[in-house]
Amino acid sequence: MRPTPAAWLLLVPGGLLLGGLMVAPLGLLALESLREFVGGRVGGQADRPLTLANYAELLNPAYALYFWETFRIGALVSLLALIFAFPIAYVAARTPRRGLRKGILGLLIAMLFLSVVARLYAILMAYGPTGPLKGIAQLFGTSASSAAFAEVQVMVGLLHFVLPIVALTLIGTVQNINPRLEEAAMALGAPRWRAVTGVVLPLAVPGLLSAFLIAFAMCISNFVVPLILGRGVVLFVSNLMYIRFSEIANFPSGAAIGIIMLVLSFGIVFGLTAVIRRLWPAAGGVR
Amino acid sequence: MTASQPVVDIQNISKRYGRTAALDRVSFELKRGECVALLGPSGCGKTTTLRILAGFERPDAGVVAIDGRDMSNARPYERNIGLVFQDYALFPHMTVAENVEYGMKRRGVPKAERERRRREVLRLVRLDGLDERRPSQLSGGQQQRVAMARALAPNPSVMLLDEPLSNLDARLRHDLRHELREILSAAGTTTLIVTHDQEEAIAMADRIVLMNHGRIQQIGPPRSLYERPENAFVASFLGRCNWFDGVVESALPDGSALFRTTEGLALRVRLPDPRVGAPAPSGVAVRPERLHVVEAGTELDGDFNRLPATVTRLHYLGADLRFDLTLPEGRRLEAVVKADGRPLPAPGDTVAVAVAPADCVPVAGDLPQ
Repeated sequence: MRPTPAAWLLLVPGGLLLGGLMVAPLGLLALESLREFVGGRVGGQADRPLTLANYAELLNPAYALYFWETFRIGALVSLLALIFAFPIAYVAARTPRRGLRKGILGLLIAMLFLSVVARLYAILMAYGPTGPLKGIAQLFGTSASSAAFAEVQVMVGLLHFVLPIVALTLIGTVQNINPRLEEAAMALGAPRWRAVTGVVLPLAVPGLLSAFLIAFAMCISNFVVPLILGRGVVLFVSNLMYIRFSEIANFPSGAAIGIIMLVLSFGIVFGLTAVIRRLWPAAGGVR
Repeated sequence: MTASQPVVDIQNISKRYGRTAALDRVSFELKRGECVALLGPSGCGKTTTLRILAGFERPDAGVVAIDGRDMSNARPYERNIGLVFQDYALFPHMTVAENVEYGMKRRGVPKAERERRRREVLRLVRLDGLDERRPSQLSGGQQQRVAMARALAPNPSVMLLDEPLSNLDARLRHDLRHELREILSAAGTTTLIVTHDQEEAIAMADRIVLMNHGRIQQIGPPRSLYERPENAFVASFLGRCNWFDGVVESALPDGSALFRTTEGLALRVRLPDPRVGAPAPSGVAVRPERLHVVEAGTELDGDFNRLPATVTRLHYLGADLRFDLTLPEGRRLEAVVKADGRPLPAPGDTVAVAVAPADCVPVAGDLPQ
C-alpha cells in the first residue's frame, strides 16, 4: 500500500528530531575529523585546509588493535548472550506456569533497572584482585590481576549488561513461532530438544540475528564496562575516543575514530544481515 | 495382539484445570480401521481429550492405552501417533518432501525407504510432483493434504485430526470431506477426528462420540445418534429438532406410549428407554423432516398424530421448503418438506401437521437454550 500524501506529514516530527539531533551533529563531527590538529590547542584548526591525516594515523597497528579488540570482544559477548539468553527466553515463552514466566520477566527487567555502575563494581569487588572470589581466576589458569582475567571480567560485565535485553528480545521471537510446530515435531517422533533445534531455532534465525545485532551494538559502543573492569588493560574504542576528546583535546582525531567506528559498524550490520539472509533463505520469508 | 483388541482404549480419564473439570470420566475406544468423530461444542473437552491421547497433557485419572499398552504417561514421541492440526503446522523452513519425511527420519527409516514411502503417501493424497515446494507456495487444501501425508508417512497406529477442515472455505470443506475419508480408508488407519461440525462428523465418521461439559453424552453410529438421541442435548446438537416438553403418561396397547405436553396436548410417541435406571423423559423430540404438512381435512394412510396448525412463514430453500408453524396452544414448530411442485399453502392458512408415533422420540434432560 502506498502512503497518502497526508501520511508523509507524520514523518515530519521524527524527521526534524533525527535531522536536528543526529544528522547535523554527525555532519559537524565528520567535518571536524578532516581538520588539522596542532598540539596544545583545543580542537581542530578551522582556518587550515582539510586533511586526511587524522584517518591515516589510525592505520597504525597500535590503533587498529583497539578496533580489533572492541569488535572481537563485542562479537564474542553477543554470541555468548544468545547462547545464555535463548534457553531463558524459550522457557519464559513456552512454560504453562504463569508464575515462572512472570518470575523470569521480573528478574530480567529488574536487571535492566539496576545501575550498570553498581553492577560492575559488584563484579569487581567479588571477582577482582582483592575480591573473595578471586580464586575463580585460577580455574582459568591465571590470576585475578592478570590481563587475561581483566578481559574475562570485561566480558562478564558486558554479558551482564546485554543479557536481559537479548533475552527479552528473544522471548518475542519464540512467542511468534507457532507452538504447534514443536508439537507436530514431537508427534512425529522428535524429543523436545530435537524439536527445538530442528524447528524452533531455524525459524528463530531472524530474531536471533536482530538480538545479536542489538547486543553487538551495545557492546562495541560500551564505555563504562572497560573503564571499570578493564583496569587499563582492556580499552575499547569508546575509551580511546574519550581520551582523545577530554584528556588531550584532540577533537579531530576523536572525531575520525568516531566516524570510522560508525562506518565499520554499519558495514558489519549490513554484511552480517546479508550473509545470514543468504545462508537461510527460508528465514527471511517466515514470521 | 488380537484383531478384536481396540487400537485406542481410553478408560475413565478425568482432567481438571483449576476448579473447572475439563473431562469427567471419559471412556471410549477406537477399533482397528475405524473412523470415530469426537464431536461437541467448543469447550466440551474434545480438544483436551485429543491432547491427552497425543501425550501433550496428562490425565489426572484414568488410563490411555494404544495398541494394548498403557501410554498414560508416555511422551508424545514415544507414542506411535499421526497428528494433523487445525492450522496444519507444516514446517515452513522445509520443503514438502522434507516435511513428509520428517517423522520417518526421526524413526531412523533408511533414505531409500523414506523416499519410496514419501512418493507413496504423496500419491495417496494426490500431491505428486510438489515435493520441492515450500508450504507457503501451496493452497490451503494442498497444505491440508501435506499435513495428512506427513502424519501418515510413519505408519502411525492412530491418526488424530484436530478440526482438519475448519480452516478451509465452505465449498472446499465439502469436497475435501469425502476425499479425506477416502484417503483414510485407503490408508486403512484408525482415526479420531475432533470436530465441532456435526455435518462433518455425520459425513465422515463410522461412530460419533458426542461430548458436552467434559462428559460423553452418547456414543454410536451417526444414524443412531440422529434417530435415537438419548437426551435433549444430543437431540438438539445433531440436526434441528422440534421440542415438546411434558411427561409420558402410559404405555398403549399398540406398542407406543401416551405423552402429555405441558399445555395438555396428547401425542402418541415411541416407548421410552425401558432400561432400569434410565432417566425419565422430560420431553419429546421430533425432526423437522418427519413432520408432514397437509391440507386441513386430508385423509392420511397410516398411523399418525394429527395436529391443526397455522402457517406463519414459508421459506423456499430450493430443494426443500421450510414451514414455520404455530399450534393453537401457541407452540411453534418447524417442518421441512421436499419442494415437489405441489401448490403451497400461504402464510395464515390452516393446515394439518401429521407425525408418526415412531418419529416422536421421548428423551430426558433439559433442552439447551
